[in-house]
Amino acid sequence: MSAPHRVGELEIDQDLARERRGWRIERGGWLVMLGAVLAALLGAFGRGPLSHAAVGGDAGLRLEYERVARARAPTTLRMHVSQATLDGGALHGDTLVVWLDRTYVEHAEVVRMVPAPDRVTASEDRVLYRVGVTPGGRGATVTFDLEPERFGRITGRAGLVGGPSHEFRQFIYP
Amino acid sequence: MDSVFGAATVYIALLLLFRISGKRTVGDISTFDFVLLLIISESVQQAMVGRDQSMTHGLLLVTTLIGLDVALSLWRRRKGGLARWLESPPLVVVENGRPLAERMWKTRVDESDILAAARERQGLERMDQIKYAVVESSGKISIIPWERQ
Repeated sequence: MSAPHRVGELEIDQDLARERRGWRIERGGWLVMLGAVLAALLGAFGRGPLSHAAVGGDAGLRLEYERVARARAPTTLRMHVSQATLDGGALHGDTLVVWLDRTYVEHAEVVRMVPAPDRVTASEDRVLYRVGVTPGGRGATVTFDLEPERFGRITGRAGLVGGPSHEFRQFIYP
Repeated sequence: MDSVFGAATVYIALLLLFRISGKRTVGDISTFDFVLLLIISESVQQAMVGRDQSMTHGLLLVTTLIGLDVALSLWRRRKGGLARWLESPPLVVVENGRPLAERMWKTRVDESDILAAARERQGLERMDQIKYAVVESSGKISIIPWERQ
């Protein structure tokens, strides 16, 4: 250990250069903290205006999801099916079959689904959910409450049996 | 595996956040600071423990945290670049009875803090009785009075 510095009569390990460097880093750190808080308010870490995303505006199936979400925290995927799509072959009697691709379901647990499915079946690369639809002439909405289990980038695909499907990408924070 | 990574991430993040927030934050703890510390520990604890409430996970977390603390203290003894920055050196803020305004401003210590420390630790009454005041690495203020004739 080096000999302690002297300040007047004090034997003290004071180091002004180091102290000043420390202050500069401190100030920089405050800006980073401020930036992080502002970004969080905007939704850069999920659950805010920046994180909302949608695909398939007029294609008969519109997916609303969160561009960024967090591992082990709830996130929502909403599927809006237009009446034209229902009439165009997606509706089988009064049931609608929506699907999520299997890899996505393995990354994100489906905690709840509204409406609750009558039956869940699996095919080689998809998980299919059969839900009842009341004919009302204004389309139907199916909501998945999900909980991503791993962090990183995940790609999902959701669609209708006998109808369109869309791909969506999410970034999951740890 | 994720127990160790989780604990290490939390340890490093908290270390950086507390270092960035400066000496003043860790120094004299008021009731409010104490409550704040409890809230901080609670927020982090949930994220670290997650759904795994097993004994193994809990003990792995504790082992990692203590291990990192020991490792850090060993590393600090080498006085290398980053290790040095993580421990901020003591700073003289009153020299020969003269308050050093810039240093006090930067460390967010004011004359009333120094006078309070002087009353508490030395039983002093006025600024002119103080020869040196030092903000220590721990964030506490130590007071050296003029020698009494």
